[in-house]
Amino acid sequence: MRSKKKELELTKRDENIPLDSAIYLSNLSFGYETGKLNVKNVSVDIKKGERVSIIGHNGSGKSTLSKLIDGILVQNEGDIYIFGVKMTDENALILRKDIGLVFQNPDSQFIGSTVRDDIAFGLENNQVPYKDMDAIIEDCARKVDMEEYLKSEPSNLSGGQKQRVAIAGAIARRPKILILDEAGAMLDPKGKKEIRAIIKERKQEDPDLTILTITHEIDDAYDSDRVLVLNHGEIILDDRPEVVFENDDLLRSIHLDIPFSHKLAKVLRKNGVDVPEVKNDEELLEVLCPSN
Amino acid sequence: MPIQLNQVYYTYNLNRPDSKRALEDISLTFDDHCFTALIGKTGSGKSTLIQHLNALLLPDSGRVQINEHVLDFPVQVKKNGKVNYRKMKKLHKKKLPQVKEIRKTVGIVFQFPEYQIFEETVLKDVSFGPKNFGCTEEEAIEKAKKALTMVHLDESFYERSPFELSGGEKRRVAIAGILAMEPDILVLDEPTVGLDVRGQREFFHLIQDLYDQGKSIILATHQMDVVLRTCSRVIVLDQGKVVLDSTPLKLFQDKEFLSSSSIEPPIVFSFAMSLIERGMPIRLENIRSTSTLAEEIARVKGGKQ
Repeated sequence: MRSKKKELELTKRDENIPLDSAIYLSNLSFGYETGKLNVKNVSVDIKKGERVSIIGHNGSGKSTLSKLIDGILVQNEGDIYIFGVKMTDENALILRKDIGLVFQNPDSQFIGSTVRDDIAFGLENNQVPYKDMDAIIEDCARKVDMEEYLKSEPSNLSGGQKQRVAIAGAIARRPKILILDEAGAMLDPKGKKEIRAIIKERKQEDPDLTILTITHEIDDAYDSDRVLVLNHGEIILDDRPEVVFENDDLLRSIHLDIPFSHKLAKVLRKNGVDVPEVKNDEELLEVLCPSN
Repeated sequence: MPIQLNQVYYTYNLNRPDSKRALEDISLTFDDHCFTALIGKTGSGKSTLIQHLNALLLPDSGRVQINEHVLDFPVQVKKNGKVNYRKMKKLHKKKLPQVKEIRKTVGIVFQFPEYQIFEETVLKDVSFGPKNFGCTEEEAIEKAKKALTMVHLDESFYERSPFELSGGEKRRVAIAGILAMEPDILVLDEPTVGLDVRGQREFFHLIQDLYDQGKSIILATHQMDVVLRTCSRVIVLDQGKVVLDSTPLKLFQDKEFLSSSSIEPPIVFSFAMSLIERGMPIRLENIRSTSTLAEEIARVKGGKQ
């Protein structure tokens, strides 16, 4: 085992990175083939406790970017700082202890034979003492509303339930950063809603948790503090969701959907109906047909 | 009537302790040139039903008829006075020369069809199906080219490896593989899961195209906006039974049924309903998408000015 001293040395903060930074990307570039970059010169500072969504269409580079942050891929250029510590080959494993990951496919990330085993897997990996495990597992299962299913096998669970177990497994390790990489993409609308509700609840209970959601669905971005729009490997918009959604022409040109109220208001104007800017469906309803 | 199901029952692992009833008393008719949606929660029996439509599964009891081909169980195989279903099915599968014909008539596109791609080039992959059905190399390639044109993939794709294509393109290759067998009826199981907005839009244009060219479409989906926009009939399954067989317009107005079956109408429709509740005289039957809703509102608003 690594000595404590060595570990401290490996996780020394860089003085130049702001103290409140959780994920700091500096001029990050990556290409699968030479001459073609899938992530181009991305620089972002995601603050502690922030809830950020990265949206982009299939092939925009968002999955590549998430793999770079997870440490699954190694960038060609630029640096990644986790809580101010520069990620290197040597310390990647230590830094990743702070990051919980949930991926797209509910089936390919279920490792245990029961829900309990599956949540325990990550804990064993983190060398959590056995005597503490049961309490942590039960607590995490409760947090994702799966405590009744601890003995269930994966084949008896729905996709949404499996993803909730994956989230439980991720939060059991008490990460400071939670990354959801298209976590709802393969689920039905009900499953997607479940995931959104669980994440919202997590955030309310633990305001310091930094959450990064990677998605191509606009609904996932609604609840975020901040939305990053990725196209051809570059960040083209970075703002609060309501400001980002104002750019509907741009979003549509890169094949992203915009929220329904924005879309309808726009088409109405085209049809000669005068509609002011609205924030959501309720506002548009009120504008079109005021309630008495 | 190209497809007719009559009191179809199906149970997985029949006569075993872990048996699970998947279909119960299904009687349905799919007409020529239909555009039908099949909806229901995960586990409602949609996929099981779909697999009955081209004899991938055979009913435990009841009857499936596809054009003139009938799948049922006239032979009773008995052992100690009990029907030995497994033996019966085995026997029956052997005696089913019509299976090949049925699979030519009904093409199924499963979820994530791109996982079934395996050949080195796009053209080889798409011509695999017709070759399997006894076409010569030239005929198969002819059919493959025609199918690729139908999914809007041009010559430049023929010699490319299907694995280096984008998700949406791969899926089109996989569908071309089914179309190359020239089925009259196309059954699609959640065809747009995992595609982005552009991929989805392109995909539904493609299906609409195929329908316009005379194919029957049966579509299993969770996307209610698609159901509203494209389908003329909607069948709802729950726990292996047909619980509703109606039109999208009627389904989305049936608040009681929607809440009991946890189906959410598309946002366009619920927004239109809210407008009506507030007294705006718009005609629901005209609304199929955001643009048609906008036209309706413009019509009403325009009339007032």
